[in-house]
Amino acid sequence: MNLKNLFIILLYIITSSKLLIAQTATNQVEMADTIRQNGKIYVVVIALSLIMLILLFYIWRTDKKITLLEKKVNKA
Amino acid sequence: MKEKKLHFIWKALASICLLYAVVMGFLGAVPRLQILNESIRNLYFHVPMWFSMMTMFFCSVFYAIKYLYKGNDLDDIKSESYINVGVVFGICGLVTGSLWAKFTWGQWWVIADPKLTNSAIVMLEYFAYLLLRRSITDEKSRAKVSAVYNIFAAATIIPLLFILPRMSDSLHPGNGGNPGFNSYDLDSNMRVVFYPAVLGWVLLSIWIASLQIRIKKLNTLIEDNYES
Repeated sequence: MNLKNLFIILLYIITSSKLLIAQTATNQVEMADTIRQNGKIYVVVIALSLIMLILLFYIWRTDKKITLLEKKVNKA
Repeated sequence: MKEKKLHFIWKALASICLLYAVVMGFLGAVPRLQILNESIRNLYFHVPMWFSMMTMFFCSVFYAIKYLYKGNDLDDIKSESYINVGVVFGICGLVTGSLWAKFTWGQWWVIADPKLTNSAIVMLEYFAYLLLRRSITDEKSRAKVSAVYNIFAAATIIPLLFILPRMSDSLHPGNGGNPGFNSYDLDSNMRVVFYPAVLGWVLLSIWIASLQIRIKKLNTLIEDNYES
């Protein structure tokens, strides 16, 4: 390892660290990046969409029951 | 037969919009903002709650005026049902707003904030409507008095919720010199989720109210025909 190689390596480290600092400047605001990276966000999405589906199904079923009742009452 | 298919369209649209809003609400991109962080996604839920409440209350006052004009009992039933559902959505709006406030402003409620105080006043007005209905036993006078009260209550909504907060200091976005969320979702991906979310929740509120109206109609039919 002569001095020239060492200089090149040092230059590389300095420039890459400058790039890294630029990265953190824009990513300074804490967001849920970790959950997205390890895929756990899909747990949130699936859980909530399941709840929504169940509620919508309940409402739809109530709608059908009322329609049946209306038919009965209108016939009689 | 065509009526049935029409119902299916907007109810299916409501379901699709809601599922889309729930999924994309969490998977979609949002601006990275200080203090708000990920809680900005509450926009997709908190604001539609209030939109739904407004829709319900304005539908209700429409039928209240119609009842006073024509005296058709069905209009009174509709008027009451819309307020019943609207109050539920208003409570949801208050709760989601309070939760959001705890995490962004540090408090569950901010006393003397104009928007918050006025939204509490509007909710109390409509709770009072519900109490008023229960305090009058005669059906016709109950319908008339509550229809008149309905008009007065609906008339207070716009000055209380939309005019006064903007004229004074308020923490709430869109009032007191704070930027509204328009400046956040104008240039980003939030609008794509926000508008379907509003549509979905508003249609859902109409759906739930229509179910309540149909049940009440059936009850009156049964009372008139089968009970003495």
